[in-house]
Amino acid sequence: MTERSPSDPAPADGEVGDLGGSDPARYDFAFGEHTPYANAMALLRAHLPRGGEVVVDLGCGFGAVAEPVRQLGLAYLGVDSQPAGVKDLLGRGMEAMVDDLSNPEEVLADLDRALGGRQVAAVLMLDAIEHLSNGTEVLVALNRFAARHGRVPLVVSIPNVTHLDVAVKTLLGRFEYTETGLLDSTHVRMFSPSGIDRVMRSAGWAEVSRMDFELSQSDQHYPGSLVALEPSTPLGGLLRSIRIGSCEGAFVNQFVRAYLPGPLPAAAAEEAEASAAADSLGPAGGAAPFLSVLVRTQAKRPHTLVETLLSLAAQDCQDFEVLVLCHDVGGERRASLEQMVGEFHESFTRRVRLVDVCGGGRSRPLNVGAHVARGRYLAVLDDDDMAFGNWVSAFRRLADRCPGRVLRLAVAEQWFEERPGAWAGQTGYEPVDRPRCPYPMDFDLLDHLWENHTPPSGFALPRSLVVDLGQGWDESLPVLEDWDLLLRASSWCGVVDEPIVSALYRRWRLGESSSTVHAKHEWDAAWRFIVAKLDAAPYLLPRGGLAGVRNALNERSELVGRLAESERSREEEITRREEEIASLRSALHTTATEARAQIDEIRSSTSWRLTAPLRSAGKPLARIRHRRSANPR
Amino acid sequence: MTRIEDPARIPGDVGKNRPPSLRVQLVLYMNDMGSVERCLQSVATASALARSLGVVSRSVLLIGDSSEIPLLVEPDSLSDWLVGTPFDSVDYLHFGANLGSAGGQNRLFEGMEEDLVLVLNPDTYASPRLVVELASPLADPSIGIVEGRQVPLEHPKAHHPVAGDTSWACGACFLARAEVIKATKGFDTDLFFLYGDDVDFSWRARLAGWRVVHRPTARFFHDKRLTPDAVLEVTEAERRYAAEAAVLLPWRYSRPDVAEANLRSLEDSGDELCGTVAREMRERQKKGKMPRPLDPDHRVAQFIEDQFAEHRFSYSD
Repeated sequence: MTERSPSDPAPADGEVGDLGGSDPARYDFAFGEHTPYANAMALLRAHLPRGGEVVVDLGCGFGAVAEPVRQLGLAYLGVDSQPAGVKDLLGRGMEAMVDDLSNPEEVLADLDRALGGRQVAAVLMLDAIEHLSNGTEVLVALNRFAARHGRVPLVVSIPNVTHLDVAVKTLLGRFEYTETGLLDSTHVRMFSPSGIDRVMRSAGWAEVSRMDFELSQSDQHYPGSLVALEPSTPLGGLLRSIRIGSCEGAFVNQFVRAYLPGPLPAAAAEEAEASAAADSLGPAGGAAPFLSVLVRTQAKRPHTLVETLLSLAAQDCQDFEVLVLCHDVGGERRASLEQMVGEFHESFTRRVRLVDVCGGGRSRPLNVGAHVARGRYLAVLDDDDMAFGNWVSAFRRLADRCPGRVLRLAVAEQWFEERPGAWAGQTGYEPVDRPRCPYPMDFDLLDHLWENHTPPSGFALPRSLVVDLGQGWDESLPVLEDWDLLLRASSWCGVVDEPIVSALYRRWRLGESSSTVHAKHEWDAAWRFIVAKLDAAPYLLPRGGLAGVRNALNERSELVGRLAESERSREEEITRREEEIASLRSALHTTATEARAQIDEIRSSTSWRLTAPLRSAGKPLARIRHRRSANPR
Repeated sequence: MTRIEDPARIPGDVGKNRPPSLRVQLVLYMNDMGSVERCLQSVATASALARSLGVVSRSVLLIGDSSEIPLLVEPDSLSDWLVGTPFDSVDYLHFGANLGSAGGQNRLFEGMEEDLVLVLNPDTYASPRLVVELASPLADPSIGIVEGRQVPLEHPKAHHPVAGDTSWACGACFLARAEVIKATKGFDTDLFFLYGDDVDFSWRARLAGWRVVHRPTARFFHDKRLTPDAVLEVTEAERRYAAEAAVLLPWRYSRPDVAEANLRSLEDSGDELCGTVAREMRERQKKGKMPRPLDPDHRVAQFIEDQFAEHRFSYSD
C-alpha cells in the first residue's frame, strides 16, 4: 500500500523510515474519494461484464473497497495471507479467506470452491503484486482463471518507483524505505511505466483502460530541505523537466489500470522482448547501425529524392540505415517511391525502409522515424538535400571522438531554378549560381541562440536524446523545428564539430520550400515561441559556455564603452563648435556695434551734413537706372 | 588480361533489330577499393535495369588498372562477383604503367565489338537509370555522345535547355557510339594525359558530324568535395594538366591568340607549377611539337573566359 493516511505523517528531516515490522494493521486504509481505490472502483464499474456476481480481491488486506463493491450489488470475496485483514472483513460481514499466493494454482482452486459456481465479475489486485516474488506466475495463473470465467477484467493498483520524488532522491543517493508508501519496506518488486507494461503483456493481459493516481508530491517528498526536490529552484526545475520529458509517469503514484485476459505470448516472443528491453537502443537481432538517416518526403519531388538517395548510396562509410518517411503519401506515388528505392543495388536497398506517416506537420515524420530507427545517431536529409561522400564518415569520426554529443558539420547552399518542360516535357531544374558556405564552419552556441546557423543536414543527434529523454521535434512548430531541437540538444549533449563541408542545401528561387510557403509572421511567432519555451526551464551551458558568455558580455561592454567614448567625443565636438559659434557671434556683434558706431560718427560729422544736398539730387537718377534694369530684354 | 566469361549469357545469333550491346569501361589508379566496389555495384545495377527494359542486349565490363601494384590481386574474385551481375564478361587489365585516364580508356577501347561504350570514373556511383537515360537520346542518329549529370556538384557547363546540345562531354561519365570511337580513334594520348582529353575527344566527334548532348536525368554521383570557401577541391595533378590543356586546346583548335594569352598568364602567375608548365610549352613550341591545328573555321571550339564552353556559373568568384 503506497498511500499514506492523514494520521501517518512523513518522517522528519534526517529520519529514516521505520523498516516495517510485521504489524498488518498498517495497511488498514479507508476508502476515500481522492484515492487510488476510487480510481480502481471507477475502472471496475466501467468494465464490469454482464452477469457477474462476485468481485475477487486478491491481496485484499483490510478490504478497503469491500463496501463500495457491495454497493454495486455485487458480492465481495477477499483473499489475503494475513489473518488480521481477513478477520476484519469477516467481522464486517464480507466473504474472505486466508490463502497464500506463493502457490497460485492452489489459491485459484480454493477460489473456485469458495465461489461455488457463482459467476466472477472481476478480479482486483490492489497494492498486491509488488509484494509477490512470483508476481508474473500469479498473473499468468490469473489469466487462465479469468479466461475460464468468461474473460473477466483484472484491475490493478501498483506503486510507481519512478515517481519524480524517488528519482530525484535516488540521484542524491537517498533511497529510503518507509513503513508504507512508494518505498514500502515489504515490496519485493518495483515497477516502472515500461516495467508494468512488459510484465502484464508477458502474462497475457491486454490493457483496456487506465486511471493512474497522480500526486505531485508523494510520500517520498521529504525532507523539505532538499533543494533538488523544490520545483522553484533551477536545479529542481531542471531535474523535473528531465524526468517529465524522459518518460510518462513522473507524478504517477499508483498505476491504476484495467486489463482483459488474452493469449499468452509465445516463449520466443518473450525472449525477444526481454532482449529488446535490455537494450533500449537496439532491436532484437542484428547490430544497430551507427546512423539512421531520416528522409522526409511528400513524394512531390521524385527527381530530387532520387539524387538524395544516390548521394547516400555513394557514401564512403556505409554504417547507416535510411528511413524514407512517406508523409501522407498513398496510391501511385507511394508505389513509385517503392520502385525508386528498389531499383538501387541490394547492398543499399536492404538498409532502406519506407515508413508511412499520416497527418501532422513537418515534424511528425521525424518523430515517427526517430522511434522506429535503429541507429545510435539520427540525421536528417530532406528530399532535396544531397550529401557529399564524406557526410556519414565525418559524423562517425566525430561520434567516435566525443560519444553522446551533437555532431555538427558545415553545409554549403546553392540556388536552383526550376525549368518547366525542360526534361522531356517535365519540370527540370538547374543551379543558377555556384555553391556557397554562408553558415559558420564552427558551432557557436551563443550565435545559435541568436539565430540558426545550421541547416538540418548539418547535424546529427544521439537517438537516445529523442527516445530516452523525450526531446523530439516540436510538432506544434510550423517552421524552425530543427533550430528548436538543436538548441535543446546542444544544451543537454554539447556539440562537437569539424569545419568540413559535408552536404549541399538546395535553395529554390521558384517552387516550394519552407521559406516560401510560410509567411514572415509565422517565422516570427515560431521564434518567440521557441525562446519562451527554452526560457521556461533552466538552460544548461556546455563546458566553456560561461567563458563564452563572459566574452560576449565583455565584447558588449567594450562596444558600449566605445559607443560611449564616441558619444562623448561627439558631444565635445558639438560643445567646441557651439563655443566657436558663440565666439563668432560675439565677434560679429562687436564688429557690428563698432560699425554702427562708425556710421553714427560719420553721420554726425560735419562733412556728411554739408554733402546732404548732393545726395538728394542723385536719387531721381538712381530710380531711373533701377527701372531700366528691372525691364526684361 | 584476366577475362571471366559467362558463356550461357553470350547470345549466339543476334537478330538485326536487337537492342545495342554495351561495354562499360573504368580505369583505376590507386583508388580506395571500397569506393570501386560501390561503383561497380552501381553500374552493374544500372546495366541490369537497362537490359531488363530491353534498352541494351549483352553487356561487358572492362576494368583497366594504371596502379603500380594491381588493385585486384585476386582476379578469381571477379568470377564470384560476376554472379548476379548483368555482365556477360568482366575483363581486368593491369597496364603495368600509369597510362592516365585517356591512355587507359584507349587501351580498353581496343578490339571493341559492342555498339555502345559507357566511360565512367571509378569515383562515381551510377544512378539505377543511368544507362537507360543515357541511351535514350541515341534514338536520334545525329547524336554520338551523351553526357550524364553529376551530383552533388553539377558541371557548370551550359547546354541547350531542351535539346541538351553542349560544347563537350565530361569524361567522368558519358555514353558513346562505337562509330564515334572508331572515327576519332578515341582520346588523343599524345597531347592529353588527364585533363582536356574529353574536350578534345568531343570536339573531334563534333567535327566528324556527331552531336554531343547533356542528359540531365542521367544522374551519377561524382565524389567531388568543397573547401570551406565553397571552392572545388583539386589535386596538384588536376592543376597541372588543366594548365597544359589551357595552352594545347586553343592551339589545336586554331586559336593561337588564345593559346599565347594563356601561356603568358601562366608565365606571369608567379605560381611554380604554372611556371613549369609554361616553360615546357615554350620548349614544345620551339621544337615544333605543338599539335596540328583543327577547326580553322571555329565551328566547334569555344574559348570563353578560360573555359571551353559557355558556363552557367563559375565555381570561383
